[in-house]
Amino acid sequence: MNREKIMNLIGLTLLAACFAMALTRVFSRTATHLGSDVVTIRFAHYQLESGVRGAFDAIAREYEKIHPGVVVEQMSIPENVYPTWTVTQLAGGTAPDLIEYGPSTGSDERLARYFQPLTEWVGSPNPYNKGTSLEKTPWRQTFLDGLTGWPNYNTNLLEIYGMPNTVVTIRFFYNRDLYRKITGNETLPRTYQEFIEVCRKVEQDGERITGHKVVPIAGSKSNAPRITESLFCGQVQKLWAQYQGDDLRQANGNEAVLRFAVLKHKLSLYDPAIQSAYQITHDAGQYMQPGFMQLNREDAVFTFTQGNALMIATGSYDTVSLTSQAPFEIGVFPVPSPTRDDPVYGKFVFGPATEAGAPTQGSFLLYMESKHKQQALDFLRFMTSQKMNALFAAKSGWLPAVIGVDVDEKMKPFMPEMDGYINGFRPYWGADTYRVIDNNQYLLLGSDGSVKKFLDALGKDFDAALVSDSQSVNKTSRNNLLRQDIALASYMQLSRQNAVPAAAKKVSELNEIETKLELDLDDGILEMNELGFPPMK
Amino acid sequence: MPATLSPRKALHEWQLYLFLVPSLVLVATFMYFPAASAIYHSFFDWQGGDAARFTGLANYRRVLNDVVLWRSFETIGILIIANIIKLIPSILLAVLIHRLGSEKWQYWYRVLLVLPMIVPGLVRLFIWKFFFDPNFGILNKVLDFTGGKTLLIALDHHFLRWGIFHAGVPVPWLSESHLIVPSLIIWGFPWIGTVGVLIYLAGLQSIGTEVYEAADLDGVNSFQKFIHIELPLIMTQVRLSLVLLIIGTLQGFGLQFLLLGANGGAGGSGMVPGLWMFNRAFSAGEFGYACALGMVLFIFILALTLLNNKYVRVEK
Repeated sequence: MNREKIMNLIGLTLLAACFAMALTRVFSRTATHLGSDVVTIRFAHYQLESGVRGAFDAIAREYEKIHPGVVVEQMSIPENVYPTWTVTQLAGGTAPDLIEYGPSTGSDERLARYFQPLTEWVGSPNPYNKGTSLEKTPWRQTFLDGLTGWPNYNTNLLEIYGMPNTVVTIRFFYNRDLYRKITGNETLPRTYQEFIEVCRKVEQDGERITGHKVVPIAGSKSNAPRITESLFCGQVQKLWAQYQGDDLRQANGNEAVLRFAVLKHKLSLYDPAIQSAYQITHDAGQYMQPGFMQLNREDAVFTFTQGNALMIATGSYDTVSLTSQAPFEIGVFPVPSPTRDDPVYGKFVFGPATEAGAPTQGSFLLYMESKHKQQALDFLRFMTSQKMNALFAAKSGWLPAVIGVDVDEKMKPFMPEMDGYINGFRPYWGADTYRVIDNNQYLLLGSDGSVKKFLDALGKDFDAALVSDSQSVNKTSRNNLLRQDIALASYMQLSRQNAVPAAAKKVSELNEIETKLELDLDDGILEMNELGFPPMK
Repeated sequence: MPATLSPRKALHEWQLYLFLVPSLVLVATFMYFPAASAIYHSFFDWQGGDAARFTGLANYRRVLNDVVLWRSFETIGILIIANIIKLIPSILLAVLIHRLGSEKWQYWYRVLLVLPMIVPGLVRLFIWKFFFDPNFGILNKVLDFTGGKTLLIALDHHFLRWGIFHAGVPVPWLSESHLIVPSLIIWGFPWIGTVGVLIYLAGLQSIGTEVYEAADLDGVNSFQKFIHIELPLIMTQVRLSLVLLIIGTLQGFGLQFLLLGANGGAGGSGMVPGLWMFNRAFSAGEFGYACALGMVLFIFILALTLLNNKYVRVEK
């Protein structure tokens, strides 16, 4: 055989070997699903932080031990592609049994269309809490927030959809060594003014002391909003309260009131409170590294762990990642917000916001078309039992979501701060207003940015975007109503025939949901008609 | 002209046509069905899933008034022109490799060109994203080292008046509205596409040596050889590249999505029609409208391809 033939044969063999390997890997993954007795539960999430996958894996293995014949498979999807991946899976009918709540799963439309409401099951105790202090407690009440708000309870659909694993709070993580070197002490800032003082000191003396450029805050398009939104919401506390009136008692408030106030020009983006809110976010932006708006979360973490930034604002979920990557000791403190005494920003605030409403998160939703719905629901109960949540917290380093689970000493600074006031509103109200604000943020947060430039640029685009978002809200309400109509009609028929004992109760619940949806829709249509816009796109 | 077969003769071995069926089924399923579904759903208010409400031409009427879409065509126009200019380095490199005297060196240069193809396109995009990093990226470091930054500051101060280049402040390539389109143009420097070079090389290698000998005898210099011999004889390949380039640029949005996000970056400067289609589908949940946008884009691409075929002639 000549040399050329031998080379060709080697090439062909390599190609065949790679193909065989690929085939084996693909088929071995699906082979476990082919056994007729094996039930496979798949759950998908986007938490790629250190320890979390291991924690979920441990829970899955514990479940498999007590349920032979069930295989639990974890799917970890990168955060960047999670929204697209989820939507594609849902639209294609191939979604896993349990999906983590995330961007693109949470709209009313998607929740109502693709996910099973869990309301009918949360009133009963979780059987996996047997032998614990929560043995007789309804499943819903075993969570720290009682599943009263976003993302688990949807106030438009009046249903519970998500079962959480953790509580997330936002903190500043800081480099203790660097902090000591630059400030000369270990006293943490307690007020907004003290915080700004620390930032100024880093800017003035950081390079001289350390020998290299140091920025006060490592920012990115993911991390910056942790600070900027918190500061913005603080500045519009009084404004929010003014528009909510009695509705302050509601968990989420009524953002439609604000939307229409802006559209009717009763509330302007140039309102002093809103201008102050944008001003404070501009000020915070000046202490982040140049060009931070184009950076991802990983870039900000890199800047911080390389010692090029003193602080980074992120959620408690990043504790393990940061402590494992950073070669220095890390401390934490809450995001300081202005108090009423603040000479510059105190005018529009009640005070620091409470974290009592910090929602439980890392929630899983049950896919409505799941082939093993009951088994998936059972796994959800197991995952959110006290014992398994304790395992999850221990392995992931995250805060627990279930009552009675001990919190590790090093996680205690992340526990929600209960004292405080209600927070204000976020500066966007839908996909289009978010896009317009996102597109113009560089005029606010850039080194040459200003509130005036930013607000002037928002101009007509923002009004058009607000109209579009309002139309989307109305359309979603209408679609949800249509969907509920079918369920209501079915249960009414069953109730008349006395075919299903719980049908009458379900009719009553659905009537309540429909009434709220109809009221919201009627309000929305009326408002849009008054403004002279089509109520829906 | 090929001899024509009578239908009787053509269908004599009709069983052989059955071998085409699997390929046709695959093409129909994975290429024609999605396109047909998109055309169908463009007439619906569809938010994904199976619920869709027929709205007739409402989506198309909305397209006519879609300011963001028409603005995105301005951006794509600039990118198409830039990409046409970016064809030149590939053509020049192909000519240079073709003119190498040694076949061995020609082979090695081809290998060197092909090797980077093993790096996935996504990885290259991430590397370029890192290049654009204002604090650690190589682009800013090169500008500082070569004095290019000083030139940009002077240019900004005297002509551009954008107010974005400052001494001691890193250039924020992807978070400044005025710099987004230049960044999208700079991406991929030195703009040498492996496949393009190989296609042009294949075309150049079909030119006989006697043509070059005749040119040498007539005293033609290198540049004249390129203009009068090589370029005309590879125009078929250039035309093909042009068609693929226009289609690819019009449809493409992966680069903009990765570098700038689904909203098109600062000022929406990086918004292109493909990205707007993605934004409407996955950010706003308006799948039906996104299908209508796709149809409009298809019409544009078809029109430009027809223009290209009509006016970019290849003289046989």
